[in-house]
Amino acid sequence: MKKMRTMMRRILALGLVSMLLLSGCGPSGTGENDGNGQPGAAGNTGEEQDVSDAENTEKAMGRYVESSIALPEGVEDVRDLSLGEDCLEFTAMDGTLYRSGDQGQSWQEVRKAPEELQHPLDVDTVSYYQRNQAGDILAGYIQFPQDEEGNVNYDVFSYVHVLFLEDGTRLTVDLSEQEYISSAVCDANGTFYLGGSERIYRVNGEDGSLEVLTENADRCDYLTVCGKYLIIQGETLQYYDLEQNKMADQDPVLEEFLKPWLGTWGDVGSRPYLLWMSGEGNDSLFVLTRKGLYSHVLYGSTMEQLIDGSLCSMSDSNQSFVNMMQLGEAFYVLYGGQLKKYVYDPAIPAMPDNILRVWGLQADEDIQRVVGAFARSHPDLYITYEHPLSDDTGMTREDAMKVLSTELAAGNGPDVLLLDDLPYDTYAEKGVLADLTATLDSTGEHYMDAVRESYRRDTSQGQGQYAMPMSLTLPVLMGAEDKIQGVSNLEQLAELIEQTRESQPEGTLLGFNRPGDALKLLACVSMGDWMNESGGIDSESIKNFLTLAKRIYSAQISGSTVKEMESMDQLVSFINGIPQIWTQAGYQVQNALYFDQPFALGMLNSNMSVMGDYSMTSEILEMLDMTMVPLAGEKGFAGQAANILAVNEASKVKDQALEFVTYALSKQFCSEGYMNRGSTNWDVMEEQIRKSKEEGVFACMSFEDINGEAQMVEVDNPSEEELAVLKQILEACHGVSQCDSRVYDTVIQVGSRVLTDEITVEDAVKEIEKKVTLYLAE
Amino acid sequence: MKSFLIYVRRGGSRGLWFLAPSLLGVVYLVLAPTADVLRRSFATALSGQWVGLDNYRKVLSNDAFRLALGNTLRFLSLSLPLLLILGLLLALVICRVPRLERFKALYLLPMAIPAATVVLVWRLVFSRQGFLNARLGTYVDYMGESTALAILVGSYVWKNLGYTMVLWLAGLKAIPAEQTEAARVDGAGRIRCFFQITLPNLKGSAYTITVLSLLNAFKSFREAYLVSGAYPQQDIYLLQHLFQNWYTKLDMDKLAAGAVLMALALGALSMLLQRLWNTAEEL
Repeated sequence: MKKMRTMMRRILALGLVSMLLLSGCGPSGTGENDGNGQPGAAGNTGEEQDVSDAENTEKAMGRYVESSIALPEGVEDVRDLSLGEDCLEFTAMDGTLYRSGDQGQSWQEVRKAPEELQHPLDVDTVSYYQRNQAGDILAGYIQFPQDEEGNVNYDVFSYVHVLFLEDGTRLTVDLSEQEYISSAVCDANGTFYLGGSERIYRVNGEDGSLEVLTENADRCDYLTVCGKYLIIQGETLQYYDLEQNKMADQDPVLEEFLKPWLGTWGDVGSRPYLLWMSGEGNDSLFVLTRKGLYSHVLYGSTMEQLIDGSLCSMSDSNQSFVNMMQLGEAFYVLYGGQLKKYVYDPAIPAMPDNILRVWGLQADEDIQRVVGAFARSHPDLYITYEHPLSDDTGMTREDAMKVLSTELAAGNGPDVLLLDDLPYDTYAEKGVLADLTATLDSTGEHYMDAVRESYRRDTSQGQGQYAMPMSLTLPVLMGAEDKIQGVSNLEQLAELIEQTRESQPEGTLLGFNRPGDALKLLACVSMGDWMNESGGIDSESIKNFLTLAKRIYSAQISGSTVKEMESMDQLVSFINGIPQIWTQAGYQVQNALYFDQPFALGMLNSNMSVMGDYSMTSEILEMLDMTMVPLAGEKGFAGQAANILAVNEASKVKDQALEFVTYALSKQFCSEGYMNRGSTNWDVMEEQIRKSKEEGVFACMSFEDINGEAQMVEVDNPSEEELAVLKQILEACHGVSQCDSRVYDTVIQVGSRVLTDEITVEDAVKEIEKKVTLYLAE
Repeated sequence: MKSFLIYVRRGGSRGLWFLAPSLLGVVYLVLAPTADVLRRSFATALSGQWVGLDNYRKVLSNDAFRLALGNTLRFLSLSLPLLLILGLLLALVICRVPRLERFKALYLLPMAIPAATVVLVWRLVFSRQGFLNARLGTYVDYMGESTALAILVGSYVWKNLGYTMVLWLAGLKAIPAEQTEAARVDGAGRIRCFFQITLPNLKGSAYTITVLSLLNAFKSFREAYLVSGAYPQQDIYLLQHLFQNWYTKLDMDKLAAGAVLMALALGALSMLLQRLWNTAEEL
């Protein structure tokens, strides 16, 4: 009996030990290795997943490393990248073909393009340009008529489609002069294919004649050949079987993966690039996206990540995807005028050991660029950028805030916080944020004092500056100098608009027609007044704002024509109603040009990079013989901050987090690429002024106004006087408007009903008080 | 506890090994977090500095807390008696009509309906563009007016009535029929039988049903939150709304103090109820 008991005990003990061992030995699932030493990332789309991957695979070694390839002297931009026999080739913008047999270390000029293609390449009007393995070139370009004196008429144009054979023979492609072709591609045999708005063609290489493959394609942005399939990339992905000459089935995995980027009109440079390397029975595609480089077997079930975009230039929206090639084990990606090489290094960790988490409620392109640039200069650091409300997680703001609160309370919060739409005062008071004063002082750069002052707080942790915005925009009124001189606040604006309506009974005066849009635009001037110093709402100020907004809105709407209102709706819909875009002064002044408006109200952006807001605004103001004046609220002339950077006091990589913040604010970063908004750093502005003086006309834009008349804007560097106006306005700024997001949302929501006469101003103020009282009482 | 110690003294310490896993679970998942909440209620939110009773003072002087507490008590005082009385009445009716017992499972159906579905129905019925306004020809946001509390109480009663009724029914079935029959032979009427025989026999069930209904009452927050978010109409702003908002705003100090106060109040209420019933039973 005793033996039996002992045996039972042993069996029980063995069982328990086995259970414990087995429970710890399951496959991790997320740490798979793809065979290249890179962490498997199939189906891994969330940032949190990425972080956990990073933690699980800290021992894994090997990843692709990015390096820049120098182009030959004098070559600033590249049209096309291709492969020769064991060598890399590219065509410069002037049509010259260069070749490198040593993986981009040196380049030899091979030959010039046919003369006809050299000129249009120069003026950047080429729609497509494709070389095949035999050296034939298929190209299409826009031709503007010229008079005898050489003046170009930009109002009329036609397309020229031409095929140059390797021996120099010129063949005209059998297409209408008005048919737009967006993409050309060639298959493994050198046969060309063209993609237009609905039709896909096969080009006969002997005579330039065309065979229509399909007339039912959706919009075609890019064509790619993959084995026997032609992939048509537009609003969706479509597949054409080149052997059976019919449309083929969808590839649901690829379609789902590329969904976020398909059919986007705005960010053309972020459209995915698909590469197929020809080979017997090879159906593998390389898929280049902002998330990185992936490999996918057509009709397969996985997307395998080869290169993590967040660790290199692939995630940088300033870098447009143009072309990509694989030569040997290396990948070559052409971004606008830059060529980068990606080589696998098995000696470095697959993921850097240190993780820096950047967290904001919404995604922002400027921050994404900082993340990309900072990651490139810190290969030892893995940077994640989390933006829960922009991901397709269905998360609400409350959910995101709860997750953040849990992490912060547990001491595991993000290292860098973007405080846009987050309670800065609460976080500063509770000791969540690190004091940035010493860090900012030590950089030696000149940030705007008024902005810094707006973020100084006297908390229980002591006095300090716990956040610093990266960008600032300022409310300005634009119009004829004699009309707007002396207008400096909403009350005077209301009087001006009402008086103008009396003398101009028909036509729009300011660029809005929806109540919510009007309030959001006017709130830019006044929102800083809505809360008092004790943290409560200033009912009198809100009442005053709604009264003035109603006067302005009524005067604006009373004379707007149906045609104007419909056009405004279309324009706002086109940019998805994103306030950050349509409240910009540059956007609003375009409205003034489009609608022939006497005034425009918008947020001035000091940015002066290519097509930057101030460059465009000052140009159109000059065309319309207008000027601009700052509009102040009751507390003075204040701007709106964006990308408000702060560092978690409990961060484990606090030094790197502080470095990230100073880098995001720095002249080095902000002056380099295009930023969506103006900087809060005076040095950045000085640098932009210096750069703009060195450049001439750098962009042009043409459109038809509401009356059907062509408008052409040639954006060049702002003049000395225009720069003086900008500087004067920036210097007049006394700080940043700060209003709690719930109070702001409530005023806009309830105030919209005032503008449509559903309720009176008094009732609206009572309702607002009622709605925010609880929130503020907490 | 005493019997446990006697058991250990008698050499039953081996049993402790069997108890250990569940005991560890309770300590790790219940006792330790409770102790942590208690500690946090006397400290600052994140830095953990000792502040004594400051957090309790802040909570008790907070207008939002007072409002939420008042609303929660009002909701409980309206909904609990209504639910208990209606549930009992229905159970009595079903007792008299045995055919209705066949549908017992059906009465539990409202409990099985997910909160999100209930909320969708609320919106369809009570919103400005809802069915109720269409029928009455009005344009009232019933969830944004003082009617919100009545809707919340109504929803709670509707959802829990079947369950409460089934519990009462079980209690009624446990009463020996002979007692009622003997009373009827002695000339007692139905009402007298109910008050003198049925009700005293239901005391045991009543305690359980009241406590369960009280706990279920706190679940009504889900519907209120899903309909109106973190800041509903003032009358249905409950303690859970406040606690959740404090959590979102990182007010962990106030949240901990509020949670301790609420736990004390609920504990006291539960003990009071038990004492009342025990006293009544002794009598």
